[in-house]
Amino acid sequence: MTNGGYVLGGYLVVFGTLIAYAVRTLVRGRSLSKQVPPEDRRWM
Amino acid sequence: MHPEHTGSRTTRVLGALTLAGFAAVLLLALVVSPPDQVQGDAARLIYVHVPVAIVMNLAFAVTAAGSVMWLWKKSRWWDTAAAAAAEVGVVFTGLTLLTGMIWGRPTWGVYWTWDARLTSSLLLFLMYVGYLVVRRLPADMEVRNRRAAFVALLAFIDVPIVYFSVEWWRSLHQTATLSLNTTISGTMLFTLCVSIVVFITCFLWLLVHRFRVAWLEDEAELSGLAAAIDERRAEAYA
Repeated sequence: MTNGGYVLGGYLVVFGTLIAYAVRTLVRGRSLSKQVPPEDRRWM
Repeated sequence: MHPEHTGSRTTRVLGALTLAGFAAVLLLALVVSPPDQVQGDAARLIYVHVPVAIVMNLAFAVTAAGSVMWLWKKSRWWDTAAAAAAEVGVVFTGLTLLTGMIWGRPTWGVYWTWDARLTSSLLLFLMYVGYLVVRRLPADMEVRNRRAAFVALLAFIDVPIVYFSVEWWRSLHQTATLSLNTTISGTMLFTLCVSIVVFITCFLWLLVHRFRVAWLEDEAELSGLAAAIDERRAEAYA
C-alpha cells in the first residue's frame, strides 16, 4: 500500500477519537445518573 | 424504568448499527475499494474525511436550529439539543481538520497551508470551541442559553463560507466530492455513500447520549443550587 502510514494514521485518529469520546460520554452519563433523582432521568 | 445510564433501546439499536457499519466501512475502504489512479492509496482517506466533514455540517445545523427554537420557544429541550450537537460537532470538526492535514501531506506536500478552505474550517472549529466556553461562563441559565444561542447563530455564518470557499477563492483543496457532476464512481462511490450513512448513524448515537448527559448536568446543577438555597435558609432561621 502506497502512503500506508498516512492512511493508517488517518483511520486511527478517527476511530481512536470516536471511541475515546464515546467512552467518556458514557462514563459521564453513568456518573451523573447516580447524582440525579430517578424522576429527572426520564428520557424524552 | 429509570436506568443509571444514558442508554435506551433506541441507542442500543443505533450503537449496534454503527458498530456493524464501521466494520463494513473498514472492509470496503481498506480492502475492497481500489486505489485511485492519481493519488494511489492515499485516496482511501476520502472514506473518513468526507463523512466526518458532512457530520460536522449536520451537527452545526442542529445547533443553529436548536438555538433558533430556543430563542422562539424558550424550551430547555432545544437549548440542550443545541449544546449537545455543538460538542459533537467540535469533535467532528477536529477530525475533519486532522484527516485533511494527514491527507494533505502526501498529496500537497504539506500538512497545513493557509488556504481558504483550511483557514475557514479552523475558524469554524475555534468559534464553536468559543460557543462551548460561553456555555461554561457562570450565569443564570436563561442568560447562558441566550448568549449561547446568539454565538451559535453567529458561528453558523461560517458553515456556508467553508463549503463555498473552494469556489469563491483559488484553493489547493478540491471542489465538492459529491455533486451532480461528481467524477467518483463504482465501488469508490458506493463505499463513500455507505461510510457517510454509517458516520451519520454514529453521530445520532453520540448526539442522543450527549443530549442526556447535558440534561443530567443541568439537573445536577439545579438540584445543587436548590440544596444550597435550603442550606442558607436553614442557617438564616437558626
